Amino acid sequence: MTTVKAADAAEVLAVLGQRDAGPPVAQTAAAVARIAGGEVRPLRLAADLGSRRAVAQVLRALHQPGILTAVLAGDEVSRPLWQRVAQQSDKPLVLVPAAAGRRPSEIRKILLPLDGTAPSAAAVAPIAERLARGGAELVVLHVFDVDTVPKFWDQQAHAGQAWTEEFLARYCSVPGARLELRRGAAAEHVVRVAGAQQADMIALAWSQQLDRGRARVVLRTVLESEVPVILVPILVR
Amino acid sequence: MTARELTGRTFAAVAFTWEAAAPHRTRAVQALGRRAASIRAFGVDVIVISRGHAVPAGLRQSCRILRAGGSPETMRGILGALARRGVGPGLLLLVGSQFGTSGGRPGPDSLLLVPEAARVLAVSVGPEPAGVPAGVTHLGGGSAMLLALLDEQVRRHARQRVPEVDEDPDWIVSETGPGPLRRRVTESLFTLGAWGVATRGSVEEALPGVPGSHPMVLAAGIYDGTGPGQHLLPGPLWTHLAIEPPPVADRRVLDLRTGVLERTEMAAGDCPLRSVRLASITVPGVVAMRAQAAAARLPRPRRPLRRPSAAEMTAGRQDGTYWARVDAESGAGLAAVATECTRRDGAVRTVQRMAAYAGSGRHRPDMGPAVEALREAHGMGFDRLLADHRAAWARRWETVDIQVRGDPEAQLALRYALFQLWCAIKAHGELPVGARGLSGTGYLGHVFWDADVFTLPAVAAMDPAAAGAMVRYRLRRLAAARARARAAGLRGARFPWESAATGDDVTPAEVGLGGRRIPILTGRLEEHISADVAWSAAHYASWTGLRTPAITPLLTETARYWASRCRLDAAGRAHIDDVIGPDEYHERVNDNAFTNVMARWNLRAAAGRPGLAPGEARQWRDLAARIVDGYDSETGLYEQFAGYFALEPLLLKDIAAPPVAADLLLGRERVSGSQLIKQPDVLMLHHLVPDQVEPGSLGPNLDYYDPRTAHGSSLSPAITASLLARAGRPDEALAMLRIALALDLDDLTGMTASGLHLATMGGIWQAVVAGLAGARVRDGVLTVDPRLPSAWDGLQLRFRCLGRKVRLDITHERTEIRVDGPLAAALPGQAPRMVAGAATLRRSA
Repeated sequence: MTTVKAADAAEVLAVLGQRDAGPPVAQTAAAVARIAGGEVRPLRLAADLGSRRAVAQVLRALHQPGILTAVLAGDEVSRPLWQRVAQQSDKPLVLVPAAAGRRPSEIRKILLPLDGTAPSAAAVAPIAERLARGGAELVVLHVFDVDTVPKFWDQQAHAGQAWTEEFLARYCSVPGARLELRRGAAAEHVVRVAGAQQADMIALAWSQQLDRGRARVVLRTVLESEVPVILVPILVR
Repeated sequence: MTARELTGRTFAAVAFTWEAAAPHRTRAVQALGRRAASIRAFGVDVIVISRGHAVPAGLRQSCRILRAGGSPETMRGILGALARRGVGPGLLLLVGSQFGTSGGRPGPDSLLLVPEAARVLAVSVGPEPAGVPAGVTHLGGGSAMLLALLDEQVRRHARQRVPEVDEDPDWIVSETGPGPLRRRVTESLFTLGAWGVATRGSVEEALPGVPGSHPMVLAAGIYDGTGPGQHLLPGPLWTHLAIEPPPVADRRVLDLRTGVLERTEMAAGDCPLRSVRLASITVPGVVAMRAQAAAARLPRPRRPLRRPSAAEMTAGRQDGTYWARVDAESGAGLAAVATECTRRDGAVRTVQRMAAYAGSGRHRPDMGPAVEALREAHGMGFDRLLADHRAAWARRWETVDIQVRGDPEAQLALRYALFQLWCAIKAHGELPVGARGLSGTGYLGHVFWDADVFTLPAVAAMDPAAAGAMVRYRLRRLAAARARARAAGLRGARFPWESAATGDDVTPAEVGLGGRRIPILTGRLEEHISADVAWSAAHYASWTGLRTPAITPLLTETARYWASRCRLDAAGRAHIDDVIGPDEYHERVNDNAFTNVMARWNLRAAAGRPGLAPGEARQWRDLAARIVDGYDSETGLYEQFAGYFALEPLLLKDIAAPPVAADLLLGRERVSGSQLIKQPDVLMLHHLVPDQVEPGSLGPNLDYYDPRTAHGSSLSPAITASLLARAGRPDEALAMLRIALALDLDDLTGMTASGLHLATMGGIWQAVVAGLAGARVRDGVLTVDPRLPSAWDGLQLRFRCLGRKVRLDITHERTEIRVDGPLAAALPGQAPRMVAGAATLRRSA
């Protein structure tokens, strides 16, 4: 599985609806552009949210060379648009919560949930590295569940250190990244840990399939997060 | 085809037939003798198969002569003799002249082509009018070609070309083109060690694209830092080469039989990178490597020793020898001296590097022995050093080995476990064996009960002197253990849960996990370690048969501790409160069965020792009889600790398939409130002190506790295998043993990159020897009680015991024992018999 390299892209689309999503999208786009070393390009929708024309318009703009990502409203009202764009785009998509939560003007800390698989780690790696180069601190989150829990865990302190070092070496080798471990259902932890860590953004790899895998985690994160969520597709080529 | 084109390999032995040599003239004999002498100077065996011909004196002096008739037994004899020198068939060049048919009859040399010689490179220099058999290369050219082949071998050795490894599938662990992340694991898997110094199996070039690649040299007992952060001090690095461009794909082979690590670059044209390295087991502290590649890719190295990461290094050069030293804050240090040279062989450059290490856990190391060792190795030359090293490994495997018939995968993994145990030990001084040995930074080199209970039993059967060094480590830390007991207001010696340089407790106090700071209580409460240390010393004495008065304090001082630690209730029963047993899911428990019964054993074992205070022996025996053990004669069960049976009756099958870290899955609170346990706890008693538990109680307790065992400890599978075997369930035992065998080779923990699980390897030995073979020593008698899995056709064990070299050959029908001196042996229920030589142990009808 591979992802499109975003390393060379330099513009961030700010998708503004006919009923303008307004400052949250523009502000987030500016913050992302700043840390990614790019510029903001506004895109005003020419059709209703969720219409095929609107989806096509966003995808067309997103797939232009030089575009790193698109920022759009990620609330329930805008779901017909962002969900279809997210399912079809091969570039990351930043979804801005409509809730009156934190809308950081600067992206200083990013929460990076990883499920411990190579494809999802590879998917987020380019964007994570780019944002880290821009000065963002990466906090990796891994949640132990029945599928991901280690077989062995000998001595608490030593196992934790060894396992952390190995997990980061395998899945997020960005210097300075640190790992937070939780157990249970991943969907329950992402937003909570983002809040506890005061993360400014959540970066989430996903399979673009809403009916399988960790779709529950994705949907719940997007709809409940108080900070922007960047969805990074895991592509099959 | 020329000799150079044909072979392209550097052999360790050359055999040729009399007819191939055709030395009819004096000058031909002299030429042949000179070649043979030149090759032998490099430690290469030269063998003449004379077929009864009189061999001229010029050849007799330089070759080994086999007067045999060139029959299959001749070749088997050659291969056997070479095997005793660590030279496998793949390292033998065989030159004949009559392999093909002649007059309708097979050529006499074809009789040498036995199945065991499949990897031999067989070459014919004769006319062979009818062709040669499959597997033989026809060169022709007669005796002149034989001389050319010998000349080519002389040239390759003189040009320091990289030697070969015999790729016997029963002996090699290989990895082909591993991805960057698997490289991290193979760095641990391919660790080489000897004399208490080990080098991780990192590739020669730096790997910027591989996060966390950790080239490292570590030495037993040399620590840096203080407190819980104390860790093994990394030493100067010696395996680095600048290879430009670096290899894209490679194949690495660890030859367990000869202790050599080989690397071959793949798909790299005419001059691929090749390298071999070894940690000499014949010259103390010496390591050596050879590498070759296209000259343009392998520039002349500048410095043979490099600074390890995250450490400062002092270095210099004296009398043409490089030296380097890494110093610890405490004054301890690990140093090395090294030399290197390069050669050109056409387009190929070779680099040869030798180093010798010296270390001290207390002060700046004395470089003198390292300088002398390097001088000795240099004087021998790489080829002779390698030849002696191979031969020494062959002698090791002749004495200690596990051979399984019918299960090649298990066979290889079993030998791998033995190999890495060898790499981690030394026989001189004292030997602290950390949880990951010397193969990585994991567990910081701290010493746990892993060493005493899991590793030492294996080491005692492999190298009793090394086991003695392990016991000495604990003996020399008795003072610290006494101080620790005093600090707790108690008597005797109280050993720490985690130990390093001084014997003070270096257990971390807390850990951050799951967003919380969690206190670590094992340092304060996992007290069975004191009895484990005593048990280990007693086992060492019992297994080796050595009279060891020096170990007495390890038993008596720990017994004093238990005597002061026990609490007597109003009814006069003795309790040990507030501990953690081997099952660490349950903390702060009272009357943990394992702790209590081990303490009881400790008191009884010490009571028989000399030098006690008046009345002390009687007091200890009396106290031992009072210690509660949680045994219920109606159920046949031991309650793991007071109140255990009242916990939530959770079975593992309702949660997940084992092995599983149940505490991470369910949370510490849920698990501690349930009957789920991490690893054998009660059942460890049946493994360590079977005489101290109720007869016949293994089965009921196994049936009860195993379904509740998560096996979330890497220590668990091997010991459970042993217990299942003892319970008459050898097929289940084999299934559990396979988990242990795969633990590091398949990286089941996900943490092998930080080091090998040495206690698992010791546990593997115990699972086979104590479990499947049922071999135990009691009162100077070796009893054997085999339970062979149905998938195994036979099991051969070689080990040391009671001062003898023992070989057990076990089939489903019988057990044979061979010893190199008188040894008392028996099957269960039989009177011991003195065995000298070979005997069959038969079960009574």
